[in-house]
Amino acid sequence: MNEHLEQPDRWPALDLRSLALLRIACAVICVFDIANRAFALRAQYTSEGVLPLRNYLWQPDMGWRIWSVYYLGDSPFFVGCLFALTVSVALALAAGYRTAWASLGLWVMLLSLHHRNILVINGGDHYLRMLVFWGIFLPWGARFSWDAAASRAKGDPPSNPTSFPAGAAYLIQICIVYLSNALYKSGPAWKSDGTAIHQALGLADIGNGVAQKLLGLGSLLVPATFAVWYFELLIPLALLLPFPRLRLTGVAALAAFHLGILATMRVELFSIVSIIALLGLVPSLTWDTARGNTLQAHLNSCFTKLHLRLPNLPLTTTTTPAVFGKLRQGFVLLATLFVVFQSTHDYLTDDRWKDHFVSGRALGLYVKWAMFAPGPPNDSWQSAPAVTASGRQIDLLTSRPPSMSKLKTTIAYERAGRWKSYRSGIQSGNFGSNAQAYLDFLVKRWDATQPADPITNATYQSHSETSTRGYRLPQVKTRVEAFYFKPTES
Amino acid sequence: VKRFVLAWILGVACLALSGCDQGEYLINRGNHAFYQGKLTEAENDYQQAANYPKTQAAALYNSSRVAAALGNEDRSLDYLNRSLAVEPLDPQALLDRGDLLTGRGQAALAESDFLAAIKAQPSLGEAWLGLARVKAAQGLGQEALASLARAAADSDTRGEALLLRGRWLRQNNDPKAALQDLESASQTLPYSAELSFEQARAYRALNDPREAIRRFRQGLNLDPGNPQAQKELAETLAEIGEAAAPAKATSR
Repeated sequence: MNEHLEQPDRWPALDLRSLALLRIACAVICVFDIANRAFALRAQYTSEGVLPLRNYLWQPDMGWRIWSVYYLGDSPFFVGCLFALTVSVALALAAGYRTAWASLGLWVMLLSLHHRNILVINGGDHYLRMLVFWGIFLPWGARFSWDAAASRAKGDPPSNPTSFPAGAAYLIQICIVYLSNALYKSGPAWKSDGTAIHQALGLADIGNGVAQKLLGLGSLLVPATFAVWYFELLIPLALLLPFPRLRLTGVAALAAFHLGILATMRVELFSIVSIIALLGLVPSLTWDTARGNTLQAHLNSCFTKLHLRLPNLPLTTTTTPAVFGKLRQGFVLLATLFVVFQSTHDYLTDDRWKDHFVSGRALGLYVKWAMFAPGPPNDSWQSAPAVTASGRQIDLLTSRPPSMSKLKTTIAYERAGRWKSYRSGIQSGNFGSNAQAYLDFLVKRWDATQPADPITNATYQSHSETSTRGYRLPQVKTRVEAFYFKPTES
Repeated sequence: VKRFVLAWILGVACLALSGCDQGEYLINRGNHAFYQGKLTEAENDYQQAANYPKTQAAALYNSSRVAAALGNEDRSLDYLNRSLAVEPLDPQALLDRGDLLTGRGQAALAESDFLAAIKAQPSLGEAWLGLARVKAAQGLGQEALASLARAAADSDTRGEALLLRGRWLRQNNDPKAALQDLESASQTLPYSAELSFEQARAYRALNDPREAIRRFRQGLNLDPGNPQAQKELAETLAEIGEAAAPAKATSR
C-alpha cells in the first residue's frame, strides 16, 4: 500500500506529494500575479484610477460581489497593504505553514481582489481561485511543507489525512472545465464548418506571431478544430477512471494541449493555471521513479531546512481545524454539486435558476467555462486617438501615432497590468460606462507625463470586424465609446 | 511522458509538412500583411492566391480591398468585377461594388448590385442602406424610406438608417418626426458629430435656437474643423443676437 496516497482504498486516490506540488505552484502563481497587478495598482484599484470605490460600489449588478476587504478603502497605501498581505499569505501557503488557514486566507484575499475590479479578471483568475478554494479542504499540506517538517521533528509518523470528498471535488472541477467548454462550443465553427481554430488564431489581441504562421496551415486547421472539440469532451474520462497510467496519459495530453495554447495565444495566466492544476493529479507511479525519488528527497530536505531556520515559530499540525468536521464534508459536497450544476445548467434547465445562484456567486463558485463558445467571436480591438496642444496625433493606448492596422495597434498595447481584460470588458457592452473613466485616465496620465504638450481632444473607439466567409477580409465597424475635449487657449 | 511529447511534436510536424493548400497559405499570408499595413506585399500574395481555384474569388475580393485602401478606385472596381465573375452572389463584393458605383453616380448599376446582395442575404442592413441612398438620389422618397426601415432592423446599421431617415424627414419639413428618429439614433451613435449637427438643424427648424446652439457645440467638440457647422452655428447665434462664445472643456 502506498503510504503517500491520500485515501488508498477510495477513488480518486490522489498522491499527497502531487497535491503538495499543486499547493506550492498555486501559491507561487499568486505571488507572480500580484506582482503583475502591482504595475497598475493605482490605476485599477485605488481612488486615483479608473474605478474609485465611490463609483464602483454604485454600479448595477453589485448583488453577487457584495463583499470584499478592498471595499474598506481605496487609498494607494491601503491597497498596497492588502497586496502585501496577499503575498504574505501566498508565501505561507507555499511554505506549508499552517496550511489550511493559509489556504483559507489566500482564498479570501483572492476573491476580495476579484470582486474589487471584475473588469480585469479572466478565466485564469477564476480557475486559480477555484483551485485555492478546493485546497482549503484538501490535505495539500501533508507533504513538502513546514507543517510536515515540524510534525516529523516532533517524531510523529507521516500523516495521511483523508479528505473525501474534497479530492473528488478537485478532480471534478478540472473535468468540468473541459466538459463544460466542449458543451458550450455548439456553434457551426466547432460543429460543422470546422473554422473555429482558424478564427481563434486570427484574433489580433489573442493570437501571437506563431498563431499567424499557423494560419498558413489552412484547411488542416479544420480537422484540428474537430480534434480539439472531441479532446475536450473526452479527456475528462481519462482523468476520472481509476487507472493511474490512463490518468497520467490524460495529464500529459492536457499539459501538451495547454503548452500549445500558450505557444500560440496570449492567454498566459489561463494556460499556466491549467497546467499547474494538473499537478495534483500526477499519480504515484511518477514519484516512484529514480527522478521522482530525487525530487522528493530534495524537496524534503528544503522544507526540513526551512523548519530548522524558523525554529521559534509555534508548532502546528497538518490536520485541518476540527470545527469543520462533518459540516465541512457536507459543505464540500454541496459546493461540488453547485459547481457541476451551474456549469451545465444552460443545457439542463432554463434561466429561472440564475436568480438562485447569488449565494454561490458571492463565494466565487459561479463560473461559466466557455472559451470561444459557442464560436470564436469576431475580432475586435480598441484605440484612443488623440490630438495634443502642439497638433501631434497619438493613440493613447499605444503611445504611438494612430494606425488603421489592427496588428500594428494591438501589438503595441501595454501588456503589464491587466488592461487587455479591462478593454475587453468595456467592449463587451456590459460595462460600457467605464470607457469614459478609462479615457479620462489615459488623458490624465498623458498630461502628467507630457505637461508641455497636453491632450486637447481624444476619443475612445471600439473596432469590431463583421463576420466573413472563407478568407475574405471582413469589414470593420468603429464605435466611439467616449470622448474628451479641452479647447486650446487662443 | 517523453514518448508522448515526442509523438505530439512529430504529429504536428507531419501535419505541417504534409502540404497545406498553397492558395490558402498565400491568402492567409496576404491577410497578415494587410493587417500589418503592408499593402503591396498583401496584393502580391493575393494575386498569387488568385491562381488557385479554391481561393480565387476571395483573393480577388481582398485585392479590391487593397486597391481601395491605396485609393485606386478603378483597380478596386476591376478586381470586384473579376471576383464577382467567379462568385456572382458574394454579398460583400456586391455591396462594395454597389457603394463604388453609387459614388460614381451609376445609380442603376448600383441598384442592381444592392438588390442582388439583398437577394443573397435578405437581412444585410448595409445593402438596404445602399439601396435607400440610390432611391433617395433618384428622388424616390417613399421607396428610400421603406429601405431605411429595413436597414434599421439590422443592429449594425440601425443608427445610420435612423440618422438618414431623420435627415430626410427634416428636409421634407417634418422636424418633429425627424427629432424622434435622431434621438433614437443617438442611442447607437452616442458620439457622432454628424448626428449632433442634424439634431441642431432640426431644433433650428423647430425655432429652438438655444438647443440648436447646444447641439452644434456638442458636434463641434467632436469635429472641431467642420466649416459648414461653424457657419450654421454663427448664423444661429446671430439670430438670437449672441456672439460666439468659446466652447467649454468637457468629457461627455
